[in-house]
Amino acid sequence: MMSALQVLAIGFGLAGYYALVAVGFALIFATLRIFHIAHGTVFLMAGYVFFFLYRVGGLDVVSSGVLSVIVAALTGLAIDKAVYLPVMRRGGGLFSVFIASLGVALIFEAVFLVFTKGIVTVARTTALGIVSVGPVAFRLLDIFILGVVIVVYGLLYLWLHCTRRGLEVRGLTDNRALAAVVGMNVDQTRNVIFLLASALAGIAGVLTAYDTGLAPDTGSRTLFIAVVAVILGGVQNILLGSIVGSVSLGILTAYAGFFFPEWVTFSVFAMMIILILIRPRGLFG
Amino acid sequence: MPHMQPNHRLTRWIAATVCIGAVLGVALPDLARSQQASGTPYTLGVTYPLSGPFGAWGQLLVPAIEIAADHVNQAGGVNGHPLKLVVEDSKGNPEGAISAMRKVVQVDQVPAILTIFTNVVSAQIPLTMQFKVPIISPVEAPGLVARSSWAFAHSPLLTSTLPLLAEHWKNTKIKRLFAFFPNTPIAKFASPTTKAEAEKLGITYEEALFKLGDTDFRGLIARAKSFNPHAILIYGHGTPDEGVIMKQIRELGMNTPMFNACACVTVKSYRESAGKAAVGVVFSGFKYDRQAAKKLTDAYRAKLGFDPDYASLEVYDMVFMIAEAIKKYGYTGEGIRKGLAEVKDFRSIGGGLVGMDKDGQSVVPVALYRLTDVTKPDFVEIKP
Repeated sequence: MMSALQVLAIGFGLAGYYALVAVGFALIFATLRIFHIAHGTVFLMAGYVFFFLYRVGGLDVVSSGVLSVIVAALTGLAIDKAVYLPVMRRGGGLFSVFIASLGVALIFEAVFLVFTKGIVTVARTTALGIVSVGPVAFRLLDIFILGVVIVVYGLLYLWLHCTRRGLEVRGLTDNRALAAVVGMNVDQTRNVIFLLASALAGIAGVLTAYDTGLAPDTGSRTLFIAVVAVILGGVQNILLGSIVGSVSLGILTAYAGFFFPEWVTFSVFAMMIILILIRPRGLFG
Repeated sequence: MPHMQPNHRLTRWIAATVCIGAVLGVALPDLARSQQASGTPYTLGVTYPLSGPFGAWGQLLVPAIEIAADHVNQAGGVNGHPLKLVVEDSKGNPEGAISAMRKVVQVDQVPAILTIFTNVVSAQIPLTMQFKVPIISPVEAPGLVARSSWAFAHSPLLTSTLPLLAEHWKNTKIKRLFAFFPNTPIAKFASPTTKAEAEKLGITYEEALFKLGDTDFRGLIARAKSFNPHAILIYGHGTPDEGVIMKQIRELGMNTPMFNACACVTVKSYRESAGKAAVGVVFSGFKYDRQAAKKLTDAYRAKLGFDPDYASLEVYDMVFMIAEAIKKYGYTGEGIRKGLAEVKDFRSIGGGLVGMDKDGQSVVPVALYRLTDVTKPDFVEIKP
């Protein structure tokens, strides 16, 4: 029983990371139909910038974090402007954009590999504070991350439902062609979506660099689980789908890591395939 | 002929003295250098991981190998020939190991190689016999280098370090032991050896294998926590992963004493990843006198800005062992092999005397230590 609760606590901590990456990916995919593989690159970029500023440069943790998230947001926007838009303007379809995104992700991963030599980099050398409730230990960082997720999702909900721009985003999700016809500034909304989604991936990247550390493939590994979370939850329901998918996968991967660590990836795929067979559009699609 | 004025004569004497001094001043150091090592360089191969999960090791140990070669050269080289190193990235995996070995042997024509890690050495052993090129490494897998008369190791084996820990567990009445090993060939001997040692003492034993390069081990640690161990052994390649495991053990609220069967915990990359969680860790490993190692320590600190770890001492020794072998039997693969096989009463930079056993494994002094300061680092020898 004690173990089950401890693993559950770990699962919720993992879910926080997945939720931050998943909601950004879902935002871009649901509105712009871009399978943004390079979202993992944005995550990684923020993590490495944070490592450089905080651990190497000695900047304080808050300034390092904020600057890293800004760099992530701009990186995401730059990828769209420099790669996706030109491909689409030249008549490239969704598959071309997907391949271009994969290319960007692989190039960045190779660059990170050259600079880091593949060695895991952890931004902190101190131990995290913990709160023990009976035999179960909760890390304060996990509690903080869950707090960040609640605030981020709450603000996103308000933005999507109570602002004009949010309404436009939801319009894009429902019917992109119609949104353009009714006079919506699609390009501007697109910029906002990329900036916001990338900033969220950046927050996750910074927290990961601070917590467990980064390797050049951490971005793609985290994105892979986040994508499955989005598919599980249902692409059309950005917030609810992402959070439910992320929590499910957080708990699943924690238990898989406890019982059969060699089979974590298998268990994630197995769950996705089973759910897609039962509900092809995801839980809330 | 006009009579030479005395002041002119003095001026000429001064000028002549200055000229001779200048000539000697320029020429003598060159002359001295040429006496040190004037011959064509003797090249040695170094196949170490410079990237990947093991990459931190290469970045820490290759400088120690370079310092050793410098020290050999400063002392006149080997029979007047300076040592030269050719470093290739083995990536710490079998494919990289073979590719790096082929490069240094077939392209650079080296007659001997310094290498590291069980999986790398396992892959290189068949090639040593094919190329007739000896390899020497600080691997700790019992019986590994016995597979070939061309393979040598200079390090304490797990079978010599583990009994010290076992004695400590016995004296501290440990009844439940949980061990972490990486899912690499090192676990193939470390797991059964540790289990047998624990069972011999009547200790209930459980273990988990972790994936190298992972960053989150909390699932495995939760399993360890549910086992409620009295002691936790973390033993692998000394990669930062093991330090991360130590840190995450403490962050899951476990205060269980932690142990390591090598001195890896003294390695900078390891200490940095573990942080303060490593304070108090008891480890058994290569016994060395830090005062005796001052020559290496000073040079290493000047080069990298921090102190070398135990493995730096081992690789430093290896360069001198090869140099001695060349002096004795010549700069050939066969000569170096013969010389390494005959290593006896070799004075380690760590102070102790080292000899090579019939399997090509060095017999080194070992001791039990407790890490007291993770930053410096500082550790004290303790009785089991």
